[in-house]
Amino acid sequence: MKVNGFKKILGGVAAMALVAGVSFGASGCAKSGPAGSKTPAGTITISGSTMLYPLNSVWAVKYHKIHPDVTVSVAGTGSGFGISNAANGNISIGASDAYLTKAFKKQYPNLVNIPVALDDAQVIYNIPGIPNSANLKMTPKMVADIYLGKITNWNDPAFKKLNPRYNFPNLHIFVVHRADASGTTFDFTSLLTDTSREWAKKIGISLSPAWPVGSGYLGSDAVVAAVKSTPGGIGYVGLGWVLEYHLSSAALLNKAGYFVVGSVKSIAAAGNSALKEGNFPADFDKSIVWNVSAKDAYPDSNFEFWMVKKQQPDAAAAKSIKDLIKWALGPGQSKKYTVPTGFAPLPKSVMGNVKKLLNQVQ
Amino acid sequence: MKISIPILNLKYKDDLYRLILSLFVLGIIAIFFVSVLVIAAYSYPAVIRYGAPFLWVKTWNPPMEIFGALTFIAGTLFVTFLALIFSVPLALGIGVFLQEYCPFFLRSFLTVIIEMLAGIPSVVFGVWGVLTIVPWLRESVEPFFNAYFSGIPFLKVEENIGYGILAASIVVAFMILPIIASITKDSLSAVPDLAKDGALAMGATRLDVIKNVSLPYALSGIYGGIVLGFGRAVGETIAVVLLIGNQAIVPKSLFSVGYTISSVLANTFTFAVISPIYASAEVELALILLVISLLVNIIGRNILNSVIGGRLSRSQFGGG
Repeated sequence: MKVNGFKKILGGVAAMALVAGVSFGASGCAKSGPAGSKTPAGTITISGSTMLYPLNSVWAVKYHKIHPDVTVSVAGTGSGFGISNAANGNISIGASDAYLTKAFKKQYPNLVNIPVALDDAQVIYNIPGIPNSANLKMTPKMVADIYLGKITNWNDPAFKKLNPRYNFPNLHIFVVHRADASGTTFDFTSLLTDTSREWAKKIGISLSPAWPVGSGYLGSDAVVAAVKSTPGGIGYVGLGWVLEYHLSSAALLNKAGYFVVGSVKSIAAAGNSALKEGNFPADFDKSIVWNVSAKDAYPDSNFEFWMVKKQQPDAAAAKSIKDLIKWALGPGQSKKYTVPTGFAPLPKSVMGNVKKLLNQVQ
Repeated sequence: MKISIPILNLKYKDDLYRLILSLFVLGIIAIFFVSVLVIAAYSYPAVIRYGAPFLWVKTWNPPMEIFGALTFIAGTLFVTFLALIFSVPLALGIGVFLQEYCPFFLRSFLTVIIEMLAGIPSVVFGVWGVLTIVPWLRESVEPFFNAYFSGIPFLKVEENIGYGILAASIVVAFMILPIIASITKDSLSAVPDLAKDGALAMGATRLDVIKNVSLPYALSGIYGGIVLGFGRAVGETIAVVLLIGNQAIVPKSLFSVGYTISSVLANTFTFAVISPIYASAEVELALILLVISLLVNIIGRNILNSVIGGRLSRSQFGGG
């Protein structure tokens, strides 16, 4: 018990050092090497994505039970934080909903993204008079138009046309987006970029894009609160949030022409379909959005990643991190951990490529 | 028998004491210049690349590396000045009441309350704002303005959501209210009784005395309080993040959403370090914030100096 408390304190000190590290990283002149903070032996720090946070937490507790000598400390700070601080060596593992893009790879050639689960970004809304179970049909293009400020009222005929059973009020659409650098935003803007030429041209894919309209909130939790408390609200969060807060979410049109609700099943279908079609990159740097042809595939699914430094400070650190990752990719994929928190396990067919990525960590 | 130890020599001790104090003062000067230098150095790449247009370009697009600070500067000034407009009259009234009209038994109680208010962490104010001010604006104030004032541009309700410039300004106004009120009270209490008694003896009413003797005498102290309030308002971060709506636009109305310099830094700086130019642009935002607060201090001081003719420099508050 006492030892545990002490480790927590050490973790706190490491977190403080991490803050200092962040401010130093700003110049870009602190190019490499852990910025002062050595993680204490036996502690692995995971920080980043708020989408992946619930699963990381469950894994951390379970892993500590199996390996009492290893403490995994988990924080939800946004994917952007996870990527930049994993690269600077301030944390052992950066959690991210976004893969390493070309720009990230150029900036941080020393990072590798290891997929650990499947998740999605869902469109949530709050329209008075429309029941929670409705799962309104929307096309990704319509969602893009809402976020471009071209569709501004729920009485727009586009909604009624796809959902003739429901009556839409004359109500302003209150557009909610994330204010921090978010992997959920990255996935969401990936879908909009694939389906709306105007979005692709003006805004593009980003963790913190230049939003044309709406208002921003800090973290998925604040997005949920803003949409739930404001009639007319629309926003986007991961499946875990939709399940936990019983949110109204949209059935989105996929490439095969079907409207699909995000669920563990439809996310897994999207993942499997993307892989079957053969051209999925071996280092996973692609979103599973529009280019998936299965009928039951949810069109805004994504791999969740752990960002890890290829060159670990020493052999012991490399071993302890790799042991954890191997566990997460093996027993950790069990449905009893992934499904209740709103994630789909990785398809078995990707494991070969995942192991290759893991081998880059030394 | 008396033992003489040099360090106990009174003269020597005095010098040592003076030396230590001087070091402290040097320390504060060093802290000031080092912070300014560091901020300036880190923002240098962005200053060079974007030049002066950084100040008036409206686009803030990190993926495309287009950076302009206008929306954040506008949001910051909007929130700060609205908060001052809301809080200064109220704070002056509270200060005057406490010092001049308040029954003695109530005064210490009220003073303690105000001081406690000043000590509430800003995130608590922010949470309170989300729970009370936002729904109040959304359900009462905005529908009212929408019904009766929708023709006036600055009062137009663009989105009836409660979040925005107004919500942030109201909560920031509450945060700076106790600062300005307690300094007003303290400045008024420093007015010598002789001056007040003199005026009363000349047949002045209580109001006359407050208007013509106490307030002018306490003016520089009150001004000091307002500058302190400005300083807190301009840099207030977490309460504003929770309330303002975090959207990079130049607010067109009291009810618009917006973004301030401090809140964009709080929201995105941990990610901005991923790209040197992005990080540098954000540090330049911090530099602008620093310059705004320094300028207000200096300009404010000069205006007041010319109004009251140099009394400021001789006074106890650096004003008072």
